[in-house]
Amino acid sequence: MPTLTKNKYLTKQELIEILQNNGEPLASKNIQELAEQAISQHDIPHSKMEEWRKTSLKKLLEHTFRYGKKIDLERHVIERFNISGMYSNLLVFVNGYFVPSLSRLLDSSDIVVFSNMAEARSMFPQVFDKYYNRTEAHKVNLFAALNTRYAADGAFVLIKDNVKVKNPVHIYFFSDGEDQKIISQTRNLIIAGAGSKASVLLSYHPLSTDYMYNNSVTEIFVEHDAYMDFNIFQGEGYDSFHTNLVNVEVERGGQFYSHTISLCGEIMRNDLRVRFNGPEAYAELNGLAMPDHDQVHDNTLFVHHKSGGSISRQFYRNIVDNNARAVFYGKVLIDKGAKKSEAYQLNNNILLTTTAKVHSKPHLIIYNDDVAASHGSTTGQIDREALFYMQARGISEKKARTLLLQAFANEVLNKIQIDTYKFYVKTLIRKRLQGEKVEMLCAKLGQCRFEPDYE
Amino acid sequence: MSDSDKILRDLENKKYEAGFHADLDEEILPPGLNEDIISKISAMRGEPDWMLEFRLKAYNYWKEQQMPRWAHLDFEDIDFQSISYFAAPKGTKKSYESWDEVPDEIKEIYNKLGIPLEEQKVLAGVAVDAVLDSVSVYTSFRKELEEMGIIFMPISEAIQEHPDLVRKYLGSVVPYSDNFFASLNSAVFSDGTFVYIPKGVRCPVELSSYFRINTAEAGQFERTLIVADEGSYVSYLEGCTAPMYDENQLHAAVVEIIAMKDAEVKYSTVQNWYPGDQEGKGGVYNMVTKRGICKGDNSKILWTQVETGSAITWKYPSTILLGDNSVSEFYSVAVTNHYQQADTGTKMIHIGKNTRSRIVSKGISLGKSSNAYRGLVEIKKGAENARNYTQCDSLLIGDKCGAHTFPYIEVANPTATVEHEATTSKISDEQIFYLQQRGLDEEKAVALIVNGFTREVMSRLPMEFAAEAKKLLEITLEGSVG
Repeated sequence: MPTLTKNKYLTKQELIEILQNNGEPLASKNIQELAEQAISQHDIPHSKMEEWRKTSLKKLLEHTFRYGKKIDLERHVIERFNISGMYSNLLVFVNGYFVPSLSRLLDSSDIVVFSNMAEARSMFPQVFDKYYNRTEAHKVNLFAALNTRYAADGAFVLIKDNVKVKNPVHIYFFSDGEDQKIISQTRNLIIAGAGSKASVLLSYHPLSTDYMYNNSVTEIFVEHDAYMDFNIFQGEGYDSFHTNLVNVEVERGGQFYSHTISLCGEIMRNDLRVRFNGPEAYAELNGLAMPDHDQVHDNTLFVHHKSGGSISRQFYRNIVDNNARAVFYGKVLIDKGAKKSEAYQLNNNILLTTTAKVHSKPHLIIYNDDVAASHGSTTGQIDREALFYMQARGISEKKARTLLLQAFANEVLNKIQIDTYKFYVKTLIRKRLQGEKVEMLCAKLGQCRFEPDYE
Repeated sequence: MSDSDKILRDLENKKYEAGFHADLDEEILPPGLNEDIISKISAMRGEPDWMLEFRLKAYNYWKEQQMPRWAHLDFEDIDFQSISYFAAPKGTKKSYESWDEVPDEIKEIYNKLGIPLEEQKVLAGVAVDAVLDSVSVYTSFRKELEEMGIIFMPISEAIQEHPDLVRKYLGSVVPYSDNFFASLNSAVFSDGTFVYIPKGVRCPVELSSYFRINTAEAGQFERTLIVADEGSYVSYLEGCTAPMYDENQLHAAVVEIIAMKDAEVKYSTVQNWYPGDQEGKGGVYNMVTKRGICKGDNSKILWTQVETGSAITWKYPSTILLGDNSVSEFYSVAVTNHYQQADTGTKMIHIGKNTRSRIVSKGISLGKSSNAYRGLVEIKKGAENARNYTQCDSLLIGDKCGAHTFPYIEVANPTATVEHEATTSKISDEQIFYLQQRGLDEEKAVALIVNGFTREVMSRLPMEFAAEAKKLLEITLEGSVG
């Protein structure tokens, strides 16, 4: 583990040193080489890069990390994080290592293959070779390249053709550094076979305090006419970091829904990139981020309409408190040949304090005239008239504010398709907005307790 | 050949009407940029020492900089050593006092362009400063304005006659270190317009500058400085053209506007630099820095621009809303055709309380062109109750062009309200069909729709300018069918 004596911030070389001792990499020699080339070309993201202008990684790079230990958790430890009423296929990872004893498969293994990547590679070499890094994740940024080169495990979900998976697939990522600064690196692969339908939830939770860093890459392939409902829940530690890349390819007639909920974490950087390979594809990208304290939550989206007749919708909302900062960078590229494409972006933000900041960049890049594209962005505070209206009807100002913020959040949350999970998130957010301690989230931390300090 | 093909072909054959070159006996400095050249330009204009110092400081800063590449533009590097930084018709040391003194060949240029310099023929209500290559050749209405205390003269003369004013404000809004092209301009600018409106004076006529590049190898680097003192009002117009050359020419101007308490400045541009031919050969690189500051409370700056020319446009007229209750508006129509590329928009920086800004941008892309809107709305921490509304719409005509929108919204005050909306589309078949049913042919239908599309901006132009802008737009859009 490098010690930061000379420099204040981690250098690229030091990052490589930290990440390379991760057991046998998943990637083939060929991909490893490509990734290595990419690593040498990428810089550590800095503010001169368009996609990183407002998200400084200094806070992350002033720490040095090591990989966490393989821990066999007792079932009751993770039960606190259960979503009540949700019966799901479970995969559990702790510190990036797969814990088979806590995982379970409800649906028949004939229809869904469900395992960790290391095992999947030996069990289904053909599938693995066909899909692994097909989206060229290493080209996106340094962290994705490092992940491509060194990641040793992650979740593998393969839904066979024409299968409708009844129960959601819930993948837990726990971090337990036992009061050490640790890094977890996971690489996930989700394949929705032609005509299939499934819901997947990735949730990230801390089990200890102190700085924890997740560097994850998820590749999702939505084959033709498949339906994928994909969720990310970031209820991470108060001082956690997450660089998260999700690369999606949607084929003809495929539908992809994503819901990214970021509730806590020092730096949460979500790169979500969707490419339409075939016509009549559809993607709906929703998100809610609620950064507090000095946190930065950054959602950087890229939708590439490579093929015509496809529709994309982005809908992101941020509620920003204290000194926190929210970044929304939504980019849509419509290629020359992508006729009859439709792209819509909407970003709404509420600032709660005078020190909170929001940066919104809904960008459209269009090379075709036969399209319909629009974007909207609003930033403001709670509607004073609505507040007055409620007060005039005997609701206290505090209560009225909470209700209005909840309503603001619910417009995104209502799009979540797993009902039990939707209820879980709504409850969490309601409690947080009311200033109650959120037991399930940061039981150990307490710091994440949300005190809405309005004005 | 279908109708739309024919129309598209007609469109491509459209001529650039201002593309003639006048054979003037010109004095041109050799190409290249170094301290000697700058000293020479300064000496030729008979400038005081502080001016030369300013130039050299800017040059030394510029030397260290790289040309910015962040814009959505694709062009080859500019060789700054192959450009001549000063060109002037021989014998013009100073702007001519009266129209009669102006040599016939220069008169001819402006007559051909249809710019009314001759005062008896002047449309009532416009005073013109005509800048040819690097020097101002003639400024009309000067005497009359002087009587009201309004200073309207070439900046080279203002440096001599009103050094205090120029020194106080030059570089105060766009410092020499602002950006690559602003530094270059600060080092080599040779002429431009200086306007000062004294306290409480409402300028009775529209002030206008007409910029013309005549020489092939020369760049144009003009500098405009407008100071509106407390409670004053001025409307300023700017127009530009250049002959057709196969080489690209560089135009790197800087415009600075200062609006004091209760002052109002209206700045309108109709930009029609040579856009290059149908293959994208030649044309002017228009790299311009325009910025105004609402320095005092209740001040107002309005930008209106109609951009139809230039091979490359890189231009973001901006306003710093410093004074409380200050207001700024930006209205823009940008049309690109053939291989033209535009990356243009605005910046609204809200610092004062209750500041308001409004942005309306309309982009139209044809041919193989690329048209980008790039705008920043920044609400600083102290900008209580700031308000911004942005609307940017793009219209695509033809399937080989591109239309892009890059808004940047940065808010650091919870009482601010910022709204942004944008749409991109072609003219829908339903719209055309509707109008055709009512007896309009396809071409007229498109013209009508485009007219409506740009109306909000066009209606902001001063009357004298609106006609020219409309004509320009009509030529560019003639018969384009979606």
